[in-house]
Amino acid sequence: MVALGVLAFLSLALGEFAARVLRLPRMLGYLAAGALFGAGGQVLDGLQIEGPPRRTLDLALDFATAFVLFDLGHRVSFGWLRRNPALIASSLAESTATFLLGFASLRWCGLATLPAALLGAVSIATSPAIVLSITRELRTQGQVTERTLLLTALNCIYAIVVSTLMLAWAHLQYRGTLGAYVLQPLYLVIGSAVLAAVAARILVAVLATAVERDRGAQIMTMLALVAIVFGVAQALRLSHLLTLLACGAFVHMFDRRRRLAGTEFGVMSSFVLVLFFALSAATADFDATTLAWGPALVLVAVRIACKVGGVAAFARLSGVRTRQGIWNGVALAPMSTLALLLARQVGLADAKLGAQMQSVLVVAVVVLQVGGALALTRALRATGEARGTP
Amino acid sequence: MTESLEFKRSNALSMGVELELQVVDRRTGDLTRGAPDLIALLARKPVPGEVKPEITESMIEVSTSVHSAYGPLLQELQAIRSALTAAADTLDLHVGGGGTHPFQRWYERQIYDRPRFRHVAGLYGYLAKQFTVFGQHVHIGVEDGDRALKLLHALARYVPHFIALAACSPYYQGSDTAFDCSRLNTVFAFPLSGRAPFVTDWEGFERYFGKLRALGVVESMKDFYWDIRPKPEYGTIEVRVFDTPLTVDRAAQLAAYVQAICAFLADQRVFPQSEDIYLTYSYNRFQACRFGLEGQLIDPLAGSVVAVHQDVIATVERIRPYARALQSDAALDAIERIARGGGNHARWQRSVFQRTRSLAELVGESCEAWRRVDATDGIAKG
Repeated sequence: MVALGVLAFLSLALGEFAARVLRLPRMLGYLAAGALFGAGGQVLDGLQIEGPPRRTLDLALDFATAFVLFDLGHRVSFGWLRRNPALIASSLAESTATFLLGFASLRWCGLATLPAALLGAVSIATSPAIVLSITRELRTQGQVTERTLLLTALNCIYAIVVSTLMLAWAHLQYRGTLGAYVLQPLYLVIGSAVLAAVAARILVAVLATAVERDRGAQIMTMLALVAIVFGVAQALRLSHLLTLLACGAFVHMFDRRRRLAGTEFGVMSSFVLVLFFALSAATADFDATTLAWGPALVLVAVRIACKVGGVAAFARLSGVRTRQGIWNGVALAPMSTLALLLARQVGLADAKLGAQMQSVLVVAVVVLQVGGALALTRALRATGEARGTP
Repeated sequence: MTESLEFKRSNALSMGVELELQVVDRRTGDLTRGAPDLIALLARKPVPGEVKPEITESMIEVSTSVHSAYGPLLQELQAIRSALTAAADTLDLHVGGGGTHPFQRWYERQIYDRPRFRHVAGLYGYLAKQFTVFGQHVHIGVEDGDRALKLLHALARYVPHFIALAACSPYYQGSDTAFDCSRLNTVFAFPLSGRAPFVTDWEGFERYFGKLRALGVVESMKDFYWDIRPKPEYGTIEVRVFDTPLTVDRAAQLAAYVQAICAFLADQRVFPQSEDIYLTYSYNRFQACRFGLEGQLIDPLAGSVVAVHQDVIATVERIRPYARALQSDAALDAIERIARGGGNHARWQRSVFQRTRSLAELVGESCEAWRRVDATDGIAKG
């Protein structure tokens, strides 16, 4: 507990430092704190403070990720896609390009087919945590903000689904049956959606009858729901990440009377985000000698180019200027820790494959979390959507 | 920046409408900074009328071209409404009417980046951001400046009608103000608001304007925030006391009501002889803002008291022949229904809040009323 307290305190301090002195997004401070904490394992040992067990940290990070995805799902309106179908084109373009060209470039760098395809798949996702945290910190409003959130929610869904399909492919290649190839992903996607819809219905009903007026109670109810869905999804071997993202979206959809419209998760969300960034840096473990810098940097470059190109290509058709489309693509740069979580799942099934992915991903994620956060901030400032906060 | 005050001749009783509209976030119902994107998108293809920015980035102003009859005016407003709705859908925004936004926080508004707006913000400080309120302006064409000023002062008597019929700002900054029209309280904070000086010839008005300009009080006619002001470059007088209604249908009806009253005044040569008509002006205006159609009107010359809705009904009767000639009978019927118990949009908004207990939902329903194409008589009877 002492160690967790130290982590939280250090995160807040470095977050403030980042914001006030360096004029950078706070989350970079949280990441730095997490990295220090992770590297400081030996220091804790030296001070005879017992660090929290690794399993606890992993679980906390998993839960924080799930909460962030729920938050994002609730924040965006998928109904917009119906009113503006060019956004679907935009989303498919940037995601497909990222996947295919990411895959091709990694093959070109000499990676085997399977790790290259898996890396391509997890690169599709933009970091929901970074996008939520920075748009809230800068209190941005406008098309680039809204579209970044929506495209992020969509590309996270693709990344989870496609990487799961890839994994199923891996199962087939090594020891699986055809049934595992077809049924498992079907069960996963449909099962997650059904669980999400049921949970969302229950939540909206509870909120409508029981705690309509009390914001605090609303947030606690939501948190409780996230925890239950998280547990149930894991017990049913569904994707808890997909389930919670979908659950947030269903809550948004079912809440026709806009009861939860103004509910930002506020304090709860800030707390989870701090925890998330610090833990994601603190738990990143890798062997520095095996890092694949070359392929990683190629992937970074290709990924940004695909996102910018894909979104900008459909900018005018979807109702904004091309310039806004370009910045919108830049805003999608932050790479998600989701990628690392997915790689870890790969590692559980196949340790060698997992390690291969990690060696590329760690570099890409570090570069695209720090660089991506700065790129996103720049994009929101350049398009005039930030309110002139630091 | 000097401005010629030459009064441009225009066709008597021609009319045009300007509407200031809210740009709303679909998800939260709060105002949002969507105006620049909305205006950029609308600029791509020809849209009927004109779309312009307003003082903060959560407002846009649309205006019609000049019309002589109610029917075509309504049609153009409906076409503008359709274009706006389509653009707003593309950007996941709502556009809607209402004199105030029920729960926005004025200090969260951002001044639109234009020299004039920056100047206003610099001069008026927080008043500029509080000026995120939404009005309808009705222009009526007049042949010359003298007639314009006479008509302006003759119309002053009907200002409480206009306020009460259009009132649609009962909620402001998150609470019920008890006013039907709270928007005008925001306008009254400006030093050059209120009524125009009692000058009834254009030469006299030019002298008045010249003095104020020499004293450095004003630079152009734009600096006056009067309830009714002459607009010499258009050749019109501009009635500015209406809250933006929740539907374009009501906006057109209100314009037709003003037009018919003007036709009546011009024909009967009803022009005030003395400034005494203004003795009860502020009080009557307050009554209309606070109590809407139930407000009390004091006639300063006769000393009589009558409720606004009764005076509207009597006026409708008096101007009916002129409306018939102007082909705005249907509009006048609608005005009469409002006065005979149909109620203004402030009442409708209160009834929605009664039912839903949610201001966010009130905004949602108001925006849906704005886009509903089949609204013939404003919105459903509250």
